[in-house]
Formats: sequence, structure tokens, C-alpha cells
Amino acid sequence: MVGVILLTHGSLGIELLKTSEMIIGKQDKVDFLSVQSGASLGDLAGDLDRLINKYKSDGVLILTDMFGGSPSNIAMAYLEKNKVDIITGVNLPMLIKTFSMRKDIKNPQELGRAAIQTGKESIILAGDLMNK
Amino acid sequence: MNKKIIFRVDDRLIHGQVIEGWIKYYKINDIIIVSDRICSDYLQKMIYSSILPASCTLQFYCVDDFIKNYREISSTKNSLLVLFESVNDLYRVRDILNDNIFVNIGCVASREHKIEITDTVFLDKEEVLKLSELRDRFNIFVKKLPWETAVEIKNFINFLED
Repeated sequence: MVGVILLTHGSLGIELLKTSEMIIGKQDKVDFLSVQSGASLGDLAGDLDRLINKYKSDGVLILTDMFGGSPSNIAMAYLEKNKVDIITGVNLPMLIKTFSMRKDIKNPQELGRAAIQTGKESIILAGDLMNK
Repeated sequence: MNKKIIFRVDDRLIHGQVIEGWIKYYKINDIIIVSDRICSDYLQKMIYSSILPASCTLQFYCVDDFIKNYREISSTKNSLLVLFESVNDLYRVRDILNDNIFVNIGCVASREHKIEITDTVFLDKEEVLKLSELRDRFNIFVKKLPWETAVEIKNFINFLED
């Protein structure tokens, strides 16, 4: 099963994880890393390195909060690695989809594609529903 | 026309604070990353190039090349943000600094034996001494975002007495 790493600013990652587990139950093979103000990105890269290694047999999907933010920048340095892919702009529906599809989709990239489709579809302007 | 040139020390280089803060606030079009580590690293260059708004240009220089070419680089730009990874790299370019350059210390991560200056700037003794030397000749603003008030560093050297 593909591993999942939530890599975000502040406590967004752990809170997303807690919230998704509230909805679909406790998850295996998932970790979170947090970028705090003033923290060393070098130390964080070391932690990320260890986690990616931990999941190297089945691969890993890294979910970051914002394209262009430092969590995402650190993660992108691992793109050249085998069986590692990254989603930027994580949201709750996307994370739930990732967890629930992991048993069926064994490849991080394909899992990521399925997850972002759900993530994108979950974003709507509710007022538009009225105009249909 | 008033030219805006900012030299910023930020060990995260381009990230949210820079894109949402400095680039938008000062309407910066041209950005340069000065780093011996990144100037020849294809993957890192790709990452930083991919995250900038499309309206911005990004160039990479090794420190010595930047010093050599700075006069030419700056003469053709109307607004320029130059990013350094460390106080040490900023200190290496001290001979090209002048009063028209806004020098900003934004993010320097905490490590062992570091003195906390702000919630994003942590310096060791050598870095404090180097910045003190630069501060005697130029204005230096310690803050992470453009609309914040800079932290006063006139009595900077006092940090070392504890």
C-alpha cells in the first residue's frame, strides 16, 4: 500500500489527518511533517528523507498545502526518486479519497491523479448551484 | 523613475512570504537567486522557476559571478529582488552594496547556539558581527514581510553579551 506523508505549514497536516480519521477511521502508513516559523528546512529535509525511505517498497504520495510554499519546495526535490509523487494544495476530500483508494491503486502517481480529481471537483462556488 | 532594489537573506529563498509578500507589495518583476549551492543544481533551479508567477523572471548566479556582473544586471532592471541563502553570502557581496539597495533579513533558521532576533531570524555570533559591520554602513531591515515594522538592530551587539 502506498504511504502517505502530509507535509504542511504549521499544524494543518495533523489537523487534516485527525479530521479525515474522524470521518473514515484510523489510517495506517501515514505520517505528517510540519514547517514551523524559524525552523530549519535542513532538519525537515532529513525527516522527510527518513520517511520516504520507510515507504520505499510500495512508494509514497506526499501531500503539501501550497504550490510554491517551502513544504512543497522541499518535497519537489524528491521528484526524481522512484515511486514518489507530490500533490500540492491538499484538501480534505482529496485526502479522504487518497486513503480510500490506496487498496486499489498501487502506483503513487495514479493514486495522486485520482485524488486531485476528487479534490478539484469538491471545490465549488455554492451560489453557482442556484443559477443552473 | 524610482528604482526598487531589494537584497533579502532568506534560507527558504522563494516561498509564500516572498511570493505573496515582497513580490506583490513592491510589484517586483525580476528575481535573482544568488547561491553557490543552487547555481549549478538543475533540479533546484527547475523547482524555483516553476513556482514564480508568470509575470516574473528568475535568474541564478553563483556568488562570485553575481558580484562580477552586478553593475550590468542592475542597470537594466526597474525592480529587482535578490535572494541570498545566508548572512554569509550577503556579507560576501558587501562591496557592491549601496544606499539605494534595501537590505532585508527575512528568514534565517534556528540552529544550535543561535540567538533569537525575531520569530524567523536566528543568528550566531559570527553572523551578528557581520551584520553589525554592514549596519554601520547601510540600513538593514530585519522583518519577514514588507508591511511589518522592522526590528531595531542599532544595539545589536548587545545580543552577544549574555
